[in-house]
Amino acid sequence: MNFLEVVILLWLPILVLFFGLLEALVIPLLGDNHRFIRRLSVNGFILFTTILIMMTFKQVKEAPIVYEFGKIFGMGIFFKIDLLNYILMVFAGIIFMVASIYSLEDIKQKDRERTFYFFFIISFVATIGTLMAGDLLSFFLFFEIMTFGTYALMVHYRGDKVLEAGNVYIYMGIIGGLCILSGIILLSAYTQSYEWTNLAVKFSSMGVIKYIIGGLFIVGFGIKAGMVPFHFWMPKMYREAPFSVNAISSGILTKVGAYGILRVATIIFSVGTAEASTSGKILWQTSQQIGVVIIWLGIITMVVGVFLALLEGNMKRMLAYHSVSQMGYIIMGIGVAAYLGYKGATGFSGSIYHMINHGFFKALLFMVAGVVYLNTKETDMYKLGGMWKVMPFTAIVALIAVLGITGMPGFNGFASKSILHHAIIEAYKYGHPSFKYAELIFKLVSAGTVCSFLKFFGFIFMGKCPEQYAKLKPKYSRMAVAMGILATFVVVIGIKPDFVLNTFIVPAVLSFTYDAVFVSEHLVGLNFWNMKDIMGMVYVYGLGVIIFIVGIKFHLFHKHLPKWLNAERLIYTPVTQFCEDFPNLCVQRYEKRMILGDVFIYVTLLTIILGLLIVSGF
Amino acid sequence: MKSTDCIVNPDDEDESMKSSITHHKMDFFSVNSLILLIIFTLLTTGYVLLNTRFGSSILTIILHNPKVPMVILLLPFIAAPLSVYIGYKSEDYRDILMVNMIFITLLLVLSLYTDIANGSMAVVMPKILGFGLHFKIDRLVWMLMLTASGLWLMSCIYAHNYMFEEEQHRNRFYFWMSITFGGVMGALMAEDLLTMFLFFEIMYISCYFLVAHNQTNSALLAGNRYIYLGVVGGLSILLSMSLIYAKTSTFIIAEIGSLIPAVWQTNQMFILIAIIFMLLGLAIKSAIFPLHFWLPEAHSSAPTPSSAILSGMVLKVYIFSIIKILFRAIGMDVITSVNLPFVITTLAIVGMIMGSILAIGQKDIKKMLAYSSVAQVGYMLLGIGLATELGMAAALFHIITHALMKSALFFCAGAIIYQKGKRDIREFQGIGYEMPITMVVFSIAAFSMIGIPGLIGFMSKWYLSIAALSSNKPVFVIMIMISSFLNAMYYLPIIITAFLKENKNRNNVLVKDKVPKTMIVPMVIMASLCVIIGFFPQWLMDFITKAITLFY
Repeated sequence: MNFLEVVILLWLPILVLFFGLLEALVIPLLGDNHRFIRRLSVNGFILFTTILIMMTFKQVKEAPIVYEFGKIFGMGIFFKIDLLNYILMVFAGIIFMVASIYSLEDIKQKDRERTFYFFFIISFVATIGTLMAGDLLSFFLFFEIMTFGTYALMVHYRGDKVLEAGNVYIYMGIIGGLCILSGIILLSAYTQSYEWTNLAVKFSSMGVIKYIIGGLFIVGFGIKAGMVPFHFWMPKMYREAPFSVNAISSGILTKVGAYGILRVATIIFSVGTAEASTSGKILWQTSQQIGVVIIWLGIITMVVGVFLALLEGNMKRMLAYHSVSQMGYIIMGIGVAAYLGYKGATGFSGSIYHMINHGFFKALLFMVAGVVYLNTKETDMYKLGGMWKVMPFTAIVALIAVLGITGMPGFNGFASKSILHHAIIEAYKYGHPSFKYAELIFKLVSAGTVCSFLKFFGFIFMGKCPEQYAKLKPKYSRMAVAMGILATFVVVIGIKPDFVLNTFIVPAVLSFTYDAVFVSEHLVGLNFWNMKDIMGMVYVYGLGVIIFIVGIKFHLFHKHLPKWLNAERLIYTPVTQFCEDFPNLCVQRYEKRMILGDVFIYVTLLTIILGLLIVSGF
Repeated sequence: MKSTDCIVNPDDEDESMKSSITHHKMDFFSVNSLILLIIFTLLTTGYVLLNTRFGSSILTIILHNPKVPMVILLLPFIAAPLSVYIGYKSEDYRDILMVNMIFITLLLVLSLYTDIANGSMAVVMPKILGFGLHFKIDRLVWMLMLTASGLWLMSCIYAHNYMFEEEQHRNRFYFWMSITFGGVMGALMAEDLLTMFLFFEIMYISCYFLVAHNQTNSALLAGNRYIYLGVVGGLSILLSMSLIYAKTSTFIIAEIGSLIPAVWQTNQMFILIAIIFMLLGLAIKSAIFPLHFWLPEAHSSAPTPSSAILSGMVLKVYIFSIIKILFRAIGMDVITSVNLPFVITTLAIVGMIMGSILAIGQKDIKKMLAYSSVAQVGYMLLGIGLATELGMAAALFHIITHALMKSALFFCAGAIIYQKGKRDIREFQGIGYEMPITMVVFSIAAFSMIGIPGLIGFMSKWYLSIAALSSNKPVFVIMIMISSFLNAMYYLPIIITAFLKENKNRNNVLVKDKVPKTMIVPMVIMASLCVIIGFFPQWLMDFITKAITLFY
């Protein structure tokens, strides 16, 4: 064991936090004359952190690394790297790294670049902290910093419209945070547990409160993950945010929400390894009930997301709705993991795998949209076309991303989507037959995704190029580097899907409470290139093309939802409206009266008191 | 390029807006304050070192002096007239006198620690008011005295430049500041009801002069409202005292506590009326929700340094007195048998929610902060109403928390008024770029109010929620969360306006605050305490927990 390994084993979180804070201090001090150094230091820091984290793999594989810090928050906090958050932390490092390369051209406002990178670093450190946190309090600490840090990134362009969208983001973030906080408080008060551990045994003796705890956590994390019906902040905010921030947010931040649901559903509600093999069904019951709810929430999220995406003409909003839809896949996978309990390994691994894959291709898609927008200043894809001639490289990476998200064999989306598909099949094989319908919806949503990306790629890159764009000579070398990196990941994972699965995900699955025999049967030797899955994809593509043709023919894509069906109008607006109008009403109508009522109160009280004083004869 | 050309120098328009800011140089007062802070740091480190190195026995010998509480009590009353006398000759020397007086008081309070570390210290001034004045200092009282003197020190340092630029009649201000300080110290230490009442009234009347200091119509009106209600509250307390005295023939709290159970068996109605009027009086004075209406006007029309102490400490004295009377004089058995906790918690919840709701509707920043105090009093009351040791600890923790946060917020509001002359929160566009330190401090304190982890306000909500759950009342947790969200609804727009919106008159270019150091330093100290205790709450909480066991 050499010196570096010792340092990492003992002080990794301190190193990350220390250098993060140092970086956050250095950035404001570097003036605009040192922009190059500033950007270099940001890139350097993120690369350095990612490499540090990657180096722990050997130890993490044997046992989770725990870093304890006593005395903070009274009971002390600790960080813990296990195989689950190891994967996501490395992934977060990659996404932030790529986004920071991309942002070199995306974020060009000279005076506010400093602010941007300041909060960029804060968000990065907070994301790593959230993932690494071992106890609930420090998790919540970093989670809140992440919300506020990314808020500053999201509203980078300022202006009234952006801030209005930002309000939706931040208030939803705060509501989510408060839900999580109440969940944490209830959990710690009723179980005396401040960390992510298996609590099924304790829960089995509790009444309704366990469902309240579960519900609060799911709502809180669901808001961050963009789960329906709390998804509306996503299209609204993404439309106004910089592209590189969209890439980060879709790539990793929403995944943190999903990660939270995953931790809650498959760890807190799960049975410990010791009891798992011996105990009967009773201990798994809570997990099963929570699982059903999560599966259907996931399915609804998938459907709503893809449906709204089909009706959308704005690139950013369409990709945002697709993020919602793809988060639905992940949430559904988590649901299956919780539902099947001891046999839920497929859902578990599928959702982690899809988190990573979705991060890669969705970040790439946002970056593609960014390149198109920065050169044409147009976000409505119906007004674009023929871009492959103008920017061939972008067209190629866009095609890769599109094939990835639609699940073409040979690209990464195929791998995780087939695992998730297996998971939902297992759900009705081992569980309730009603999940047969869930599987049908799953296929339909995949077809919808295909259709909507046919639309995306077709309208932007194919067809006739409008006059004013035909002579564009775009220059985007740094952006091309960023997109190239992501496209490489999409292709490499797609060609060798079993590598990631067997190296990272299967060990992670085995370190949790899952049936080892089941895992070795269904995951370890999984052959991705079997005829059944590939034929399934062919049907999905066929259906997608049919929907596309029908949609074009009958102009279905230009339809809009009735106004009353908007989730924002149903949920967010009434709350904020009430919170703003009611105080004003109170102030206007009652405050004056209350203040002027003092004479009345004064006289009555004085009379009573003086009367009593006389009566008591004092 | 056009946008940068049209704004040549961001500083120009400031000069036209406020031309009187000249007092920025490092004067004798600042040097003195700096020396005091250095002495304080040296002394505390020295004390800690001494305490560990040689054991506390040496310290006990050096520091033990039974007369110290008397000196603490008398110093403000002596310094008050002296300050007026000096004030006519030199304003600087008067400020220096005040700061030094409060600093000496702070040191004296600190020196009491060895006496009260494991017990309490009783002092009697016989024959005064016929019954004699009884004082008792235990750990809780000591902690609040320390907070009070710290807060007064900060306010007085802050007041030096602020008062010079913003307000007239400074001699009168310092005179009554000092008297209020004496009143607070006395009311905290009071062990019998009569002493408590005496110092309540001293405090009340002196605060009137702070509230009505501006002598504008609205300030006088607010002052009138304040004094009338205060008198009613005082009478109510007096009535209750006389009722209690009629049955127990003593004013001393500990003795009442031992006699009440017996009296309760025979005269339930009598004691109940006494409790109701005692609480009514204290509720008026500590602005518990339906009786809060005097507070927003009063605290917002007072000069900012005194707003900070009024919200930060004076309200808490009454809250602390409620704790003292309920749990030590009347006793837990009586309280629970008349279902008082239910009444108190209901009032607390209504106050928490309504205070915040009324704050959202405000446009004047100081008035908004004042309404926020109404809401925060609800938190403390909730902790008291749980009637458990955990709840009481949470309430006391919140007293300190609120003192730190609210004074920092008021200091910031004062700095904004000082530099920009703006009180309307809708006009704060881009102010974060003009006064970065002030607005960062404001943000820290506001986030603490909202309950962002890592700041002191979060811990206080955490303890309160845990206390509520341990007495099996999850509803309160939901209420605390709703109230946190409402807090966010009125603090976040200010931060967003200050940092993210563009000002019409100037580009958002970062410049340093044009506020004197004597104003910056106190608020930075408050904000850093918020962060430090936010990360290490156990330093404070352990002290409170131990203090509560010694309190009864």
